[in-house]
Amino acid sequence: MKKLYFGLFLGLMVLGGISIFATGQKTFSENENRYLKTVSSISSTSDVESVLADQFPLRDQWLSLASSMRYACLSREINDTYIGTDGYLFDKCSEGDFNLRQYKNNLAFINKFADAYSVNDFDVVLVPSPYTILSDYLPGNAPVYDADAKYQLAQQTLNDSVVLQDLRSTFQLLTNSTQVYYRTDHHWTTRAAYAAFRKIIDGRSDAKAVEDAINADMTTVTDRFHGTLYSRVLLRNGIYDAIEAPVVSSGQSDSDILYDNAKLDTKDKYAYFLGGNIGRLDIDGTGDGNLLLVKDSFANCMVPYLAQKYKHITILDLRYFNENIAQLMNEGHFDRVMVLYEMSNFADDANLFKLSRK
Amino acid sequence: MVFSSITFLFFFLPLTLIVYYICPGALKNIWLLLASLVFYAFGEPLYILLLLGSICINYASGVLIEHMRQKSSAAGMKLVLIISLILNLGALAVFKYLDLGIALASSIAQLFGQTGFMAVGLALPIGISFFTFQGLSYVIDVYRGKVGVQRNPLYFGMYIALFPQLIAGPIVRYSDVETEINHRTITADMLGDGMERFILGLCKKILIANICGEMVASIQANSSTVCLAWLSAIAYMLQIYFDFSGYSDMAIGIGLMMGFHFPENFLHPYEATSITEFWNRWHVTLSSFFKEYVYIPLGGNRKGVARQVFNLFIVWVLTGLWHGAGANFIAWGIYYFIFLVLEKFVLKRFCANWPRILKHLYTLFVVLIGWVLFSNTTWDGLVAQLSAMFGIGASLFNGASAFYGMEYALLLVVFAFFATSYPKKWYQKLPSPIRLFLGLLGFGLSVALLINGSYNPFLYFRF
Repeated sequence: MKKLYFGLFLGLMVLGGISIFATGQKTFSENENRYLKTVSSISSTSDVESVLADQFPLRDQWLSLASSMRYACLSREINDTYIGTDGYLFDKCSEGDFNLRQYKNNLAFINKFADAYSVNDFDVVLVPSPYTILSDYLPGNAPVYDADAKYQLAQQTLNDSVVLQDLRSTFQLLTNSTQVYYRTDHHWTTRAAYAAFRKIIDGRSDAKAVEDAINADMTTVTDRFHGTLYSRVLLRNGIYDAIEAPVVSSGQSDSDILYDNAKLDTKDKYAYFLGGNIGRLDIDGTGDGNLLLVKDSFANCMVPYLAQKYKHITILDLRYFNENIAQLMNEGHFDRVMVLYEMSNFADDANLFKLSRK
Repeated sequence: MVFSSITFLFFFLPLTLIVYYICPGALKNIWLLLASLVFYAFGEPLYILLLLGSICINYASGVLIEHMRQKSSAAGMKLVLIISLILNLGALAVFKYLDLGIALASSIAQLFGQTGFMAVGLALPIGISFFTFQGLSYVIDVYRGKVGVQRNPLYFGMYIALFPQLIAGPIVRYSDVETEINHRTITADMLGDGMERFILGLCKKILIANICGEMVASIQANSSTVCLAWLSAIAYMLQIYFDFSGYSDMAIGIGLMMGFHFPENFLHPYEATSITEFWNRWHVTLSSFFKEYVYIPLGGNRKGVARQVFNLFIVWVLTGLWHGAGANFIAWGIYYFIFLVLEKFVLKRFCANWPRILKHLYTLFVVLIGWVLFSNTTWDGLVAQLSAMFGIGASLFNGASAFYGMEYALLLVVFAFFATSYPKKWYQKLPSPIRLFLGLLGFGLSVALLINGSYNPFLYFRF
């Protein structure tokens, strides 16, 4: 028995070592949506361990096992993700995680930007974080940042010329009738984006905006969506999200840009909208006026509606945008500027300084 | 390289073992030396020179001391010993304590209105405290005539660099393995027991210590309450035990698989009923090193009470310093000095009739507060944690406390139970197939957590 014990484990170690290389180098993990480190990326001994961990056979299954074990040990916070009820996963952001300094800086950058270029309508939309609306689905007492205080701070800080759009009351109402956020992903649903659109752009009341969103004509483009939060914890519970898209009206010109069907066959299905995040995207719509949209990925599923409302939309994702903003502002003749970020993303984003670049 | 890594588990260890078993007798030691140097160089490409330097100096010291002995030159022997001590401790001082000394000198200079000095910022070579002490044990014992001189430099190098205990102990004295360096046998029982010990140590490290470490980190990221402060202190107390003892288990296990019997290092320290007993159970090889090479040479308890207290003071300041170059570590050492002296001269009579449970609680409380001292490198951090623990300016409970209580309290109770000697007793009564199954389960879960975790911190790099 002693020999067996020794031989078995030594065998497993040898087998594990061989199988890391026998299974061939993998370059990309769909699940984690990132490139894996390969042998050729080793430049010093400190890289070896991360390469081996990335190349380990059945990587996803091991990760899944680790999460299942944590879950079985009553853990409801796994890899910075809260495991909520009813299949909801939440990206953890406690008061301590919330980047208050960056948040204040970003609000100041917006003020500067609004001062520098006078635009008739200037909206700042800070989309509520999922748990701000779905607090009932959080694990009991899970620490999250104080959203009230953050909206209040934004209200106090932003110039009078800037309208802070607070969607909390709209979504509180919407969540009674339909899904506002995906269960397995950090984004909002298309219906939530539509309700926000009706409220902000069309100036509807909360009740009307919600009613419109519930009754909106949409098609389900996939019901096999496993989002970013699923990838982080890999708890296999059979829960998928469905992605809905507006029913495309025949007159819409730019549907090639608005939707990327090929993305529905990949892991990163939310990239169906706009094909992912691009530094600058210009879209010709069917409405009137020019809109500048400064945004994170939350806006992507709202753009189809905006395209019906405006003649031309310039979309900036500041993470990837490095052109001269002053020139863009002077030549763009924008009737409206909309800055749209999810609240915790906004507090984390270190690129808003680009708005004040001359 | 650390044991709890894929590199070690699936490449270094199996390869080293297999080649080791294939190697004929005399080559085994040379292979072990090579493997150990690779092991060290993997994490510290530059400081390998320091390790080689330590080997050379201590090897030469041993040979020279023996040479002086042949010439019956007591003065010569002493001179070589002193030079060797200066070189060994000098290297330790430069690489580990230089910046502490500079900081001290700066604050003194500033007291007199002078400008301070710049810190040098040398990175601490991993394991320097361990291999320096191993070298010292050899040189001093050769001087005392307790062990024979090792004339084969490769064999001696193998002893100093031996990878299982190189970076986190136990501190294996030359006398512990003197015969096994030259000749050792490996039985099937040793192979099986060694592997089992290794796997259990791995589980302690990854499945318990790392998870406790995560608890500490995520609790500390939150605003503190009395409950959270205690929860975090307890999690740290368990983390440091399972981390360190798990590492010792792995070292002892690997040693067994290669024919070495390393000394035990942890004897369920949290079961102790006094601080004196705690230190007979915690990091045993370190305590006995200081006893053998500092306390007794200073006169121990043979020169009166005042001298004994002074000797204890020296030992505990050194013990504190050994754990790290920082005021918190010195304070931690002196803290234990106070309790040990109190126990020796006051409490011994006073608590003799206490119920056992009270003695346990007293010991655990003192040790827990000790770890709070140990883990806070800044004064502000220490004050913050202690005041939170004792309710000064912190509320008793809040939402986050409830959440982390639910998350961790039950696991911590289970882990605390694993720190007692009961699980071991029960485990040893289990039939072997069940033990094998448990080993496989633990190994599998450990690998899962290793792959999951970039989170694999190792507490002992500071030593």
